[in-house]
Parts: sequence; structure tokens; C-alpha cells
Amino acid sequence: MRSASPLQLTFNRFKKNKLAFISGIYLVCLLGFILIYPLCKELNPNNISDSINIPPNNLHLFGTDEHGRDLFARTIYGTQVSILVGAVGALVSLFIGVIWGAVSGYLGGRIDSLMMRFVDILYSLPSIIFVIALMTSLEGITKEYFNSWGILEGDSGHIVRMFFLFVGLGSVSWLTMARIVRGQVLTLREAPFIEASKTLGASNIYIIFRHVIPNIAGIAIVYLTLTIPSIILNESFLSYLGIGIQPPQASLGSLIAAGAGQMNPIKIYWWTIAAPTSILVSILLALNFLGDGLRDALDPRTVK
Amino acid sequence: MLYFSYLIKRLLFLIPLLLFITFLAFSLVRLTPGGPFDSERKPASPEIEKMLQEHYHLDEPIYKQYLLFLKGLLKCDLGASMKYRNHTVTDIIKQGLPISMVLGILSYGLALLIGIPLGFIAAIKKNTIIDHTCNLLALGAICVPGFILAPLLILVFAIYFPIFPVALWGTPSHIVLPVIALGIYFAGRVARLTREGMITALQSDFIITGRAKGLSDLAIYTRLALPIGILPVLSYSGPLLADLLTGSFVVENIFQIPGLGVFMVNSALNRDYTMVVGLALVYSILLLLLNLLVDIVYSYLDPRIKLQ
Repeated sequence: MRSASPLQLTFNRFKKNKLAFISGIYLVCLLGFILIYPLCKELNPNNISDSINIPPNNLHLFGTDEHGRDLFARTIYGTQVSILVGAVGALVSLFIGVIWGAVSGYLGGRIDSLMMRFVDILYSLPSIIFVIALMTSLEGITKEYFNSWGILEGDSGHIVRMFFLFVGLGSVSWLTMARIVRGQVLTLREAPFIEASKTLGASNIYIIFRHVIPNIAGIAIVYLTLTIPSIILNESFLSYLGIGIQPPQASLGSLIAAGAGQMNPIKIYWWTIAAPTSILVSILLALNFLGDGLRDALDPRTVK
Repeated sequence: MLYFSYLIKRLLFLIPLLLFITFLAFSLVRLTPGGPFDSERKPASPEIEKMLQEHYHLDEPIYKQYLLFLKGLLKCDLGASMKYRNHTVTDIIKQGLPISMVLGILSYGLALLIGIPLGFIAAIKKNTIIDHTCNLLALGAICVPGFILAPLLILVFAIYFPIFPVALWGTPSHIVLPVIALGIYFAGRVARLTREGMITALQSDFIITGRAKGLSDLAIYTRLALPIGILPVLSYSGPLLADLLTGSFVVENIFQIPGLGVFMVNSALNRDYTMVVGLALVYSILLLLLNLLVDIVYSYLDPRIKLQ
């Protein structure tokens, strides 16, 4: 009988963690739904109508907001935007984190301690302030630049805005990734199979691509999964402050902000906040469960 | 004596770091396009703009401006705010900082008060239904952002059941809801860190020694494992506190608390040069000192770590 491969073992361990497994299925279904549904049925998230602030009914599944826009359509688009920002931001952080951590760990010595000191300092500064400063300043530069060239006119400002959300949020979220990758590279450098490969005459570049990176990949993917929720949270936070996604575009954060702004003691339009909130919280929970499950499954040593 | 020289060394190291941070903030905010007087009445006459520029020394090269700033700093003078012109930055910080600090310290206390017991119970009841419930609670706390929790708290405890005031600051009852809104998230983080730390600590050799000596379970958990188990919480306290300051400006915004949070966001948006630099300086001093404190407490709790 053939024994199970490491990948199969990992998958078996992962399947045992029911919460993580269900979270994975939930995320796949949600992602499929928000991507496929708009293709099947035309949605008008920005159509303004006279039916203002009506509770959920057959026509408007999640009700309407203060401009009479259909909240179901807006929530679907908002979820798309939030997940997009989270995923791309996390990829940016993966890119910076893996390179920073790998270089630091591989070179070692003084350069290593310098690079890690830098990470320590950034760690203890409020990162969101940097994002705000970065977004407001860079946006000014690019707008001037694009306008002078005559490209990106009119309402395409939101593309620039979203691009800076990706870059800004990604560039402050790579610290944990860099630390983890560095730790892995430090142990890998001394591993016997790397030694063996060196003895056989392999070059540094070959070793990095053939041995080091594939061995980092697992743990990097785990922390990618755990970075996405924190970026989604940061984005919703920025949108809540009015610095993130700009209207009429929506993300889950800006939908919640709009709903919360409508709240007053006399009349509470609970549906304006209920749907985006529950989707945001469920996505964050599912991603965290999934990340924890993957980490436990990939690393048999992790405390269980 | 060893402690003392270590402290001096660390404190001296802070000075170049703070110079670096202030210079970074100082030059970055000046190099970005747009200025503090953009939103004034338009079209502002060139003479007025020139006068303003001259008044704030903005017409001089950056390094000269920075030297001027350092000169003021020696006298604890951070300059006048460029947006709120009849206030100096020092005054605004003097008013707002105590409020933000009270909010931050109380929230941190609340986070420890809820988080550590929750993580402790989860760890000693590992892989039982109690553990899973604690984990779910902790993760739930992390996944509900402050800007959702705060309006919900207001709705329930200030409007439906008018126990606490809706907003503002002043009496102790004003403090309760903001502290809960801010502290719950960190309680979740602390609980997760405590659980992991405790589980690792319980697998150490000194636990076996303790059992061999015939210590009770309670003594092993609280006297041996807990001081080591909460080390992760301690070492994450720096980043946690940084996040706490960040989180505080949403909560300060919602509850209309006159702390520094609002100034933090607005100064960056308004390009209020002096304000940005002043706030960056204050926040970095606070965080660096807190990190130093964390390191000292760390060596006290874990005899294996030596300060050097």
C-alpha cells in the first residue's frame, strides 16, 4: 500500500478541522455567488429611485438606502470591492514581505539586524496614519500628473483611488510576513538538504528557487490568508472615515458608514446596516478560521 | 546598577530615533503637493500667501526650517497650528493627550482583564467545548470592528436603555461605552495570545519539575505557567498599543471625545505641517517609552531573558 504524500497528510489534517473546512466552503460559495450573480441578472447599484429607506421586500431583498438605491445590488458590489482590495493588498504585502524576509534571512549578519530593526520600528507605529498620509499625498501627485497628460479624465478618479488603497494597505501589512519568512529562511539555510545540494554544486539562485521558496510557500500562503481579513478591516476603517472608496462606489465599510450615519433615536433603518455588517463579519471570521486551520494543518508541531 | 546603565543606553538611543522620525515626518509632509493654505478663500492674493509663507518660514529651504523647529523644540515650543491659527500645537496636545491617554490606558486594562482569563481558561481546558467557546468569543471580538460595535452600544445602552450618556466626555459614566467599544477588540487579541503562550508554557520542562515536586494543578497553572504564558501578550503590547491609538480615533469620532484622534486624521488631510510633526513626535515618544517599559517588565517576568 502506498503511503500518503505530505500534501495528502496536510489535507487530511485540514479536513479534520470542521470549522476551517466549513469556512473554506463558505468563502468559495460567497465568492462564486458575488462573481456569477451579476452576470446572470442585471444589477443597478447606483440607480436612484423614489422608494427611499424601505425595509426588505420581494423587490429589494435587503431594502433600499436614503437615495432609494437597492441595497442588495450595492452589497454585492461592495463585497466585490472589499474582497478585491483585501486580496490585492495581501498580494502586495506578500511580495514585499517575502523579498524583505528572504533577503534579510539569507544575507544574515549586520544587514539582517538592520533590516529587522526597521521592521520593529514600523511595527510599533500606528500604520493607518501612514496609509492616510500616503493616500492623500500620492493621489495629489498622480492626479496632477494624469491631468497634465490628459489621461484618466472624469470619473476614473476612483480607479486611481483604488490603486492607492491596494498599494497603501499592502505596504503597511507586510511586517508579520517578513518576520515569518526570515525565521523560516534562517532555519532552512542550515538544513541538511540545502547542505547536500550545495555539496553537489548547486548555485545560490538554484537553491533559493528550488529549495528555499517552495519550503516557504506553505507558511506564506497561511499568512496571506490571515493578512486578507486585516486588510479588509483596515479598508473598511478608511472608508468609514471617508478616505477609502469614494461614493457612488461602495465597499462594505462605506455601506456600514452610510447606514450608521442614518441611525437616529427616532427611526432606525436597521436593514441599511444589517446586511453589510453580517457579510463583513462573516467574511472576516471565515478567513480567520481558514487561516488558523491551514496553519495547524501545515505545521504538525503547532499546538493543537 | 546594571539596570541603570541599560536604561541610560536605551534612553540615549531614543534621541537619534526621534530625530529621524521627526525629520521624516517634517520633510515628507512638506514635499507632498498641496499646502496648508490651499483651502483658504480663493483666489487668495499672492501678497497674503507670501506673507503667510514668510510667517511660517515656508519660503526657506527644508533643512533651515528643520533647524528652526529643533530650536523651538528645545523650548518645548512646537509652533502654531497652521489650521487653527490661534492655538499652538503644544496647547492642543496638552488638552487632548490626557483624554486620549485615559481612554487608551483604560481600554488596555479592560483588554487584559477580559483577555487573560479567557485565554487562560481556554488553555487549561484545551480541546474541550469550553476552549472552543472561548476561541469563538475571542475571534468574534476581533472580527467586529469598533465602528460597528460603538453605534450598537450607543443604540442599546444609551437609547433603548438610557444607562449611559450617548456621547461627549467629562464624568466617569461618559467613559464606560468608549472604553468597551475600544477594549473588546484588544481583549480578543490578548485572549488568543494568552492561549498560545499558556499552551507552549505548559509543555515546558519546568512544569514537569513542578509536578514532580507535588505542586497542585492550581499552583502549576497560576504560579509557574501564567508568568511565562502571558509573555506573548507583553511582547505584542507595543504593536497592540500602537493599534489602540489608531483605533481610538474612530471611537473618539463616534463618541465626540475631544482627544487627539480627530486632530491626527485632520492634520494629515489639511496638510497642517506643524500639527503633523508635533503629533508624530508625541506618538513616537509615547510608543518608544512604552516599548522600553515592556522590555523591562519582560526581563522581570522571564528570568531566562537578560537585558543587555
